[in-house]
Amino acid sequence: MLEIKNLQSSINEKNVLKGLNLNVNPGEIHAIMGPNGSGKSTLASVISGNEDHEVINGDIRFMGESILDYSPEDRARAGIFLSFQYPVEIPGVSVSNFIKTSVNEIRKSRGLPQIKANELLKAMREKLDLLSMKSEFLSRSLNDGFSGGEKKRNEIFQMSMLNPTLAILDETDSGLDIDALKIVANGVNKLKSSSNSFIIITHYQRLLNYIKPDFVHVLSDGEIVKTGGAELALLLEENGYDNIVD
Amino acid sequence: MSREKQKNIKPINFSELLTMAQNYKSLILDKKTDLYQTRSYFIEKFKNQISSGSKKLYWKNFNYNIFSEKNKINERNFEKNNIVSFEKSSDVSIVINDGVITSDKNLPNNIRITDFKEISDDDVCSYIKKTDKLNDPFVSVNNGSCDCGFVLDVKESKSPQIIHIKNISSKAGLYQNRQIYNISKNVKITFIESFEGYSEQFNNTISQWEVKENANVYKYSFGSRAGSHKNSQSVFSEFVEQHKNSTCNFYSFYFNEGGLGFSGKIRNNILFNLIGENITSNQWSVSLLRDECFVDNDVRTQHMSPNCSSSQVYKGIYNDRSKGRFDSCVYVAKDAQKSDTVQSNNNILLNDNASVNSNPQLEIFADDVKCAHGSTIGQIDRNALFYLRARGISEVLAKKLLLTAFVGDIVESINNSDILTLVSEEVEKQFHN
Repeated sequence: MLEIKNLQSSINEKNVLKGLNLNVNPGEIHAIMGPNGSGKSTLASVISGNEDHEVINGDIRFMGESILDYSPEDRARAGIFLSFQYPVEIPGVSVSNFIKTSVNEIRKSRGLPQIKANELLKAMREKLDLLSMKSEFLSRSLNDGFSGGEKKRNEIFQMSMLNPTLAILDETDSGLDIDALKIVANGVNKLKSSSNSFIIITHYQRLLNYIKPDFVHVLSDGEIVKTGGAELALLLEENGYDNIVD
Repeated sequence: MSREKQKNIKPINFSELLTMAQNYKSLILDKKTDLYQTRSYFIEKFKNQISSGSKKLYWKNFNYNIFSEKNKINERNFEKNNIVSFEKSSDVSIVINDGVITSDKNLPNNIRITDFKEISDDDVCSYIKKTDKLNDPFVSVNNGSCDCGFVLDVKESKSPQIIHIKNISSKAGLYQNRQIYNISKNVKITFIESFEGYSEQFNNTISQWEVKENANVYKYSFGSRAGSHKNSQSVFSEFVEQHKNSTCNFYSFYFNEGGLGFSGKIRNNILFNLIGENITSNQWSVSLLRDECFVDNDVRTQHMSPNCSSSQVYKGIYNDRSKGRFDSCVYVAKDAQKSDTVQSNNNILLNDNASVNSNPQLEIFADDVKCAHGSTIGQIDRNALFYLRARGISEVLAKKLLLTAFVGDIVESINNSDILTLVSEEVEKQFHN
């Protein structure tokens, strides 16, 4: 589904990713861990097409096609979803209007008609329920004045509405209390199927108690330096990154 | 580029304007009357203002010879069906056609409109003397020579009313106008002002409001008083006197596209004088400009008594080579304790050639007040744009969403649902590419 080969990127003339390789198959959950500044968030940004980052070498293939020339919207329409580490506050755009616009733009790109208002509302209510969120939430301005936990839940809410093929969760667990963490994990587990995949970027092993990864990768200085199963996360938690990286 | 442009500026011909005003004065037969004396005083004041090189030099941006009688219709043809109708959102319309009041038949009993030419000399004197404090040559020349316009008296009515004042003008060249609004106590009224005109007009209008005790006035104004010709220019001086417990909510919308769109240059000299206690005075302004349009706002709000609140919320989005200016001063007199004031000016520049100047100022002489002021000038937030695009929303639509949201708080503050819908629809039309 996703093949990343020798990916090298830079931002403001500083090299960040330095030859990263990663393969994600349908139905797999990959966890990416690593110390601060190792390039985890950059990887998420580059996959989703953030133009602040320049790809200087390598390739990203999604569903068999190189997506390096795709705009961020085209990547989203192809089925890639990024749950932002820092969701942007946009006063004046309501959550429901945002979801409606997003759903319809994606449908349009696939030649589908606009979704019916009542159908959309029903779907939104269902997903909100799943995430223990109130429906008043829909009329609030996007992330505007949201608590850290609300912002992250809003990301998972959007993810469940858009039903992506590949979801990248960039530190969705940071800033969440245990209850919120369980709710978010539950949202991910509900969405999980044999045809879609997740890349979970995290600092801590905690989230992985609730979402079981098939692979754990350790990212250091722009490269994946170690890959293992779920047990690697526990090992990291006990011994820290230094022992692994060195 | 700017040097080349400078060459093309033909400054306003003030001596011709002075001659015109003096000719007007000579038409007054009885030289001993108060009217003659008052008119003469203002013409003299005008003469001094233009010769002393008054500090306010905003007319340097006006490069059009105001006496050219070219009557070219704007090349940007406004289709008839493009014109926005306020029929649904207003109770009654007053049409002012080249200064002539042409329809007032259905006016409710509590509302009376009188042609400025019809009112007594004493009244003319008293109205024009009230604006003596406005130190501006265009105010002086209007005071010295304008005899066109209306006086609108509004008395208390059983229910709130909505009046659409539709200004239609075909005149090219100088057009001076005077509009007097006398709002009695307890009146609850909404005005909608729209302007149609397609010629090279230089419009110099003074609007004078007296808002009495406990009255509540909403005003929604769309476009330029000089119309929508790209060479049209409007100097508008608005003087509002608010009495105790009164409320004013004045909205101005400057759009370049759609049925309420204008083109050209606008200068607003706005003065709100809050002379009683417990006054609420809010101004809202939205400029969505393209081409070489310019909206220049010079605003002064004077708190003279305690316990009043005022706000100026001005927002602008500038494309192409358009320009904006916000120069606002809130004055709080020594006795005006517990004043609560807000000045806010937020701008987005969409193009390297667009520009805006923002200057919020405070003059506070009381010691127990809450006065906020701030301004921002920026571009579309890249992070917000990426966030929307990462959800499959095209760049064009994402920008439109963000820009619409940027002025959304002002639009959403409109408390009349018909006008709110109308304004939302017009805002939508502004961001088509």
